[in-house]
Amino acid sequence: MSFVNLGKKEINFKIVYYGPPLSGKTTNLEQLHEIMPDDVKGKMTMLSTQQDRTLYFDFLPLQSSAIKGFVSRFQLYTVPGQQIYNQTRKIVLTGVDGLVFVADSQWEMMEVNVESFENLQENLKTYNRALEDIPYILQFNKRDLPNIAPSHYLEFLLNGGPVKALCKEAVAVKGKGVNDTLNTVCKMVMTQFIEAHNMPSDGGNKEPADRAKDG
Amino acid sequence: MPGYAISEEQSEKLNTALSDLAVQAEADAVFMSDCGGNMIAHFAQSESSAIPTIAALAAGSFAATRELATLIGEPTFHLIYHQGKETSIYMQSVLDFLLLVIFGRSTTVGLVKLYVEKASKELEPILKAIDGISETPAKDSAHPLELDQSSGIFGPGGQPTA
Ligand SMILES: Nc1nc2c(ncn2[C@@H]2O[C@H](COP(=O)(O)OP(=O)(O)OP(=O)(O)O)[C@@H](O)[C@H]2O)c(=O)[nH]1
Ligand SMILES: [Mg+2]
Repeated sequence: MSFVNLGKKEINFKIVYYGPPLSGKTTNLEQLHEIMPDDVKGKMTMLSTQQDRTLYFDFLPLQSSAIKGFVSRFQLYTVPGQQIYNQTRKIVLTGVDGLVFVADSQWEMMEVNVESFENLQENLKTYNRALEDIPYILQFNKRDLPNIAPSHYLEFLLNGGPVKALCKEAVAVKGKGVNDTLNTVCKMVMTQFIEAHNMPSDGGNKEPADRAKDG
Repeated sequence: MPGYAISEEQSEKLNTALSDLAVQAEADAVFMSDCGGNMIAHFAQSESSAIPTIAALAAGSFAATRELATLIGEPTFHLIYHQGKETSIYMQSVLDFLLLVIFGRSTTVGLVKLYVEKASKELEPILKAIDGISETPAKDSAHPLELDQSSGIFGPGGQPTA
């Protein structure tokens, strides 16, 4: 749910990293926090358990001047992958503008990848939203490990829907593919936003019912 | 596509309402965020890089509290108060938005509550007007929006090869 402040010339976007337990969602944000220049990144916040598992969400704000004349603010969130935290996963999805689904490439994680992907779609449905309408990409993480499924198999499992998502391979612990993933999803989100806003706005552009009620 | 905008005028009105509240209640800072964690207006004695984080955490804690309410059969809790030694936080929902006041020992929670109630009444019509929004950045700038492709989205530093 992008939010535009015309007084401040700011556009806010929310990007959520979703996926099964331990697939590397938090690691993606940690690596991004490390590589981003100081004038781009804000403070990183992690709400985790003592065992470093995400309890509520991680949060990293980034800013960009990619849309001419505006400051674009990207608020990056991760959800907790553990099954018991579905309520908090749902809360974090409130008003999402773009999604990264971080899949674990290891063979033994195929079932939880699919479960989590289905869980994402169910949770979006509670907000009357569908994955097809939200810019999203699939990240196949942990490509450094020996026991991994080939990317085309992961695609077969996760990318059979009506809209084909872009897929990116990654080794998040080494920062590989992390920036590429983010840049791609941010570009998709901005493109969708620009297209929607550049349309002639005589009446057709009003969407009073949708916004903040989303929660 | 879901999303909303506030105009320059609405932004000014919100800022005025928040700074009035801060002065009257003798608060250190007053913030207004939405349920998704966007900071929509704020008034603070000093600018801080923590502002987006405050909005995210406020929205998160309010959402969690709302779930707790549901579980015990309450329709909603519409305020949260955290008392600190030196600094305290008072949060109250106003329509679909959250008003957050940070205050020190120069004032009291009773006073803050009183002025928040008063401010909510002033804020409601402003926030309601956002509902029927037809402003778009494109209309505002008289030029179509455009992606600047000259450098990476997050600057040259955001494009490492590693
Ligand atoms: N080998 C390898 N390990 C990885 C990679 N990415 C993450 N890990 C490891 O996987 C473990 C879990 O990573 P997290 O980033 O905490 O996973 P998460 O998805 O945030 O987990 P939850 O918060 O519980 O949902 C950590 O030990 C990481 O170091 C990778 O690309 N390769
Ligand atoms: Mg995590």
